[in-house]
Amino acid sequence: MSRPFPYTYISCPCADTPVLDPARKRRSRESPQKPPPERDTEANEGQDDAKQPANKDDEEDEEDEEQTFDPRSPRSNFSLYPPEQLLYCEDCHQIKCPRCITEEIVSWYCPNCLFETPSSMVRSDGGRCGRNCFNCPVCTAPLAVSTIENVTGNGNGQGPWVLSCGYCLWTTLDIGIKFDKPTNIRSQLQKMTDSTTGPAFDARSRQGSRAFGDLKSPLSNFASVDEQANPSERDAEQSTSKEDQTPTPHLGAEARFAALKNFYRTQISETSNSPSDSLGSEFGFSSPGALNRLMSLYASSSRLSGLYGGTKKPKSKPPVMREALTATEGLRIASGDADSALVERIASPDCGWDGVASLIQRTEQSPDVRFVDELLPLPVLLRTKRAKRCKSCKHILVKPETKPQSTRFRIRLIALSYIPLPTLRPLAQPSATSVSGLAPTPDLNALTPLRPYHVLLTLKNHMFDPVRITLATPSVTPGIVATKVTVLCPQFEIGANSDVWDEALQNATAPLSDRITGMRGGEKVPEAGKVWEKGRNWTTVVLEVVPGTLPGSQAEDGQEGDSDIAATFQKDEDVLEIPVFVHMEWDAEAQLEQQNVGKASKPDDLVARELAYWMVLGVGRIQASL
Amino acid sequence: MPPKAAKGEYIETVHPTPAKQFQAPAPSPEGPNDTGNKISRRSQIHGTQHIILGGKTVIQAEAVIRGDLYRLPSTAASTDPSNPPPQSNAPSVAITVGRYSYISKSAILRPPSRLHRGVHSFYPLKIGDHVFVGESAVIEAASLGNHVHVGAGATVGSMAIIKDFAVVLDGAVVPPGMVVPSWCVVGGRPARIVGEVGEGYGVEGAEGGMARERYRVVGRP
Amino acid sequence: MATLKPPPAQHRSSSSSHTPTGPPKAPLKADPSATIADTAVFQGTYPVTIGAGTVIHPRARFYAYEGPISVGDGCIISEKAIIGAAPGTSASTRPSPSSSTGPSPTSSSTDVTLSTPQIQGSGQETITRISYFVTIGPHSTVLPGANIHSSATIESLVTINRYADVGAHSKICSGCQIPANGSVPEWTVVWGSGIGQRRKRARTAREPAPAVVVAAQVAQIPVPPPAPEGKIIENARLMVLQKEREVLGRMIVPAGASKKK
Repeated sequence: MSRPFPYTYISCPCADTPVLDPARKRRSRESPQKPPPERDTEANEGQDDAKQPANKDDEEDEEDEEQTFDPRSPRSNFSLYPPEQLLYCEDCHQIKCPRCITEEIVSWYCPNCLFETPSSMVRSDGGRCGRNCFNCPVCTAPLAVSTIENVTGNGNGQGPWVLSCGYCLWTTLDIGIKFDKPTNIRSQLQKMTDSTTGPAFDARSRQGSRAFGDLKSPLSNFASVDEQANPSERDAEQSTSKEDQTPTPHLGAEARFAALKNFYRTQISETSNSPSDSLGSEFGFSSPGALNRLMSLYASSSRLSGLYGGTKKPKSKPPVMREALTATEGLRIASGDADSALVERIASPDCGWDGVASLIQRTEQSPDVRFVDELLPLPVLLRTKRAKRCKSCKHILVKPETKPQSTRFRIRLIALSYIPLPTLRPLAQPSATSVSGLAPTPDLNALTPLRPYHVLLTLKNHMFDPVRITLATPSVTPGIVATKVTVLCPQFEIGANSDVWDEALQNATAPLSDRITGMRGGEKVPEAGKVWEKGRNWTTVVLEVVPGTLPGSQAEDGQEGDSDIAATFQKDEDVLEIPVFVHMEWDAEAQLEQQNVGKASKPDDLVARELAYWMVLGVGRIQASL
Repeated sequence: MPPKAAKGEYIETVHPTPAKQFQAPAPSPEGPNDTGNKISRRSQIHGTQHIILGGKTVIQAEAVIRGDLYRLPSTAASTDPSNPPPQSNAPSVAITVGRYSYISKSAILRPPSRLHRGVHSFYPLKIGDHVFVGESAVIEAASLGNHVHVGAGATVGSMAIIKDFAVVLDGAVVPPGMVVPSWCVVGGRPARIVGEVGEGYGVEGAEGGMARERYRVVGRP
Repeated sequence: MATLKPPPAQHRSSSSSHTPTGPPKAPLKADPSATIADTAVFQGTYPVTIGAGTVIHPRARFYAYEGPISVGDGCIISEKAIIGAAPGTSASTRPSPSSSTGPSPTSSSTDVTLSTPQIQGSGQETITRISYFVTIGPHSTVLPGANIHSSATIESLVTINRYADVGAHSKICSGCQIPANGSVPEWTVVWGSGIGQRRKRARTAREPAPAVVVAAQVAQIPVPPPAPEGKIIENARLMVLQKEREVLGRMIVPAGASKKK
């Protein structure tokens, strides 16, 4: 996901975890003379190691800090996030990205009608909306229920009704279907297409949309647990009903699936040799029992026995399962004519390319569907609201309200409440030609190489404690295009955020006047060691950036082997991204459990805290030539 | 990057003396805050008496806002075709735009219409606070919630409902009648849900929360 | 086509051409029952004809520099739609119908300087035809030479390139492009991105989908009676359009108070 320039991304430290636990690293950096007070609270496995070989750790850190974060490294793709996507765990004192959290479902809802589906219904509905919400099988736009009689008349409640797509104008008339009522469309459609419901089954009244659930949902294994309590009985029923009524193997896809499922379930239960080994149980094929069974098959072979089966004697030969043999068991024999009929139909002028269903369309449909006019409307897939937990300490970071329409959260620990929000903007060019006050802002999509630019980096603090910030950048950016970067004021403070009312009262006036003075002073020149601007809870510093030359361009230092470099020059190598290491320190109020440490806590119950992370500033794109 | 506006391109509405172009907005819960709208002199606004701007709204040049497509009284058929004046002193509202919302250049806001019980009528288009409508976007929605972002060149079809904090990507075509739930990102033609925004979306100053800053810089030299 | 009367005598004011040295005003022949917003723009040297009951929304622009533009009865032309091409948008290098790459659909600026196109001398003129009951959406562009047949729908932000042909009862969805000389058959929906995907609309009664037939066989119930013809959906849509035009005709501020139905 690319954003327009300028942008800022923050690197979640979890990208380094496999190599070095960032928690450990961070801890060891904490004020070395006194042991960090919050150590006890941290439920991190590496913490004991951190104590003993402290010196060694520091060395490691030294080495590690030498390594500049390279925004172009392939790994960086997986650690850079826009600030608003990051969370913060108050117990680990760490930034948490979508990769270092776990999610759990709070509620299911239909994105179309925004009604919540009780979780007990989700399975039986196949994870799809059980009301009147459908997507167009051709283009996925939502379908509307509309009447085809009395369109202009004022008669209401007059049928028949169709589902129609407002985008591609598909209607259920395209597949020759109309509905008698405008409500319960899904069960109406279900009745029309449910080939598993023979007349013998009507009593069962399985309007619960077996078809969709069984076929498409990954939950389908579990969908019909209850119904399978008496598989043999049903199988018998089914076979009788099918055999004498439709002797030709012309079952619908769902019916065949159900028949096969029953068939294999009985096969498994008949052939299994241990009670714990029942694949037919409700745990299905993913149960440990199934795994056991498979493993024992392999273990009986000589080579693997040492690996898995240990020294056990191979069991008796597993009984052989037979395959489905009749149509009632779900077998379908492909007829030779079917294919030629298909080919003929594809080749016919009224089908053609546009008449054949695309792969994307077919993925959501029954496997028999080949043509556009066989596509059935799709009930809308449900979405979820999810709570998020820290993976390492299991504390809840985000908990939305259950109601689908609510946008509020019970808990929301976003990183922006803890780390300063970075924003970047270019400083107007102080060129001689421009009239004062109307200095043009540089075009960030075409930065001139070797020309110094000034960009303003504003960090805004959302904590109620003032923060001391240290910024560090490599003097030259990594990558082929070497851009020189200087932070003119690498150390500064940001004031505390005050509470809402102060902000509301001051917001209109204070920062505005600050900035106006900043702007009015057209002759204001960036100075080393001085902050550019400062507000109540924000500070702006200047970065001086001298974009490097692209390889192959006719710039001054272009005499090196152009062809080699041009060959290795990759897409977006001309994007100027600056890695910045941010180190923040602040005195936080000690939490209750931390006061016990005593030794470290300051008299006024303040504890020193620090946090460090990399961020990447996307400044712009460098022009190819001067 | 918006083009440098010529000096005085924007008219800033002030309460209680409404700018010439706009009638005093109907009494809104915002009270006296419905001021400070920055409206380009080159915007193309029709039917201003049927438009309510919540204050601090920005309307850029060449944006078309169809306030003239308001909902006629139910006995509309009998009204005199020649410029029917609103009968009551509370004109029916065609378009409401909330605070700090931003209508980019060449965007089109047009109230949706549909046939209901044999009467074809227009329905109000409601736009919430902190909404961004990108350049050349065409909005015919029933409502855009708060903090909604509609990308450049996107189309939001008739009677669509975009809930709070939803994002419509550039060039997306939201089909008629679609509902986009909160926090969802939709894109493509036709649009479908392609992702979700982060929990921090809409925080002041971050992505989705830039509306005040956007408003502030409009019309500045 | 209804009677095309000569344009009303009084001057039509268009927003962007107040200056006397502005671009030439295209001679407009509009049916009296047409509703033309006062801010619609008509420029060019060739005539523009507007049929009965047609609604031209505000800020629609007609550029009749390369040939006449004819809009049939009962059409709706939406805001900022551009019919024709402003001079300067590759009007000088007119593509031959056989091998032409459509010009980049640059939305022409309104402040065009008058560069009288002398294409009358160059031979045949390029007629842009929009038949009846056609809807052209906001921000769409119909370039010269395009031919849009009756009851077609062009949604928003569409570009119909030069000499393209859009069949009757077809729909071009938002953001799609029809290439130069391209043709869309009748009863076809073009959707998706770019040149898009195509879909034939149901016009006649269709057989029920196989899933329904199989289910009926299994359940031993008669196959449901055939659904109505797909055409009735289209008829209903056209009825709605008719109503919409009636309402719009009452609401849009027309060009010149005297010209009213």
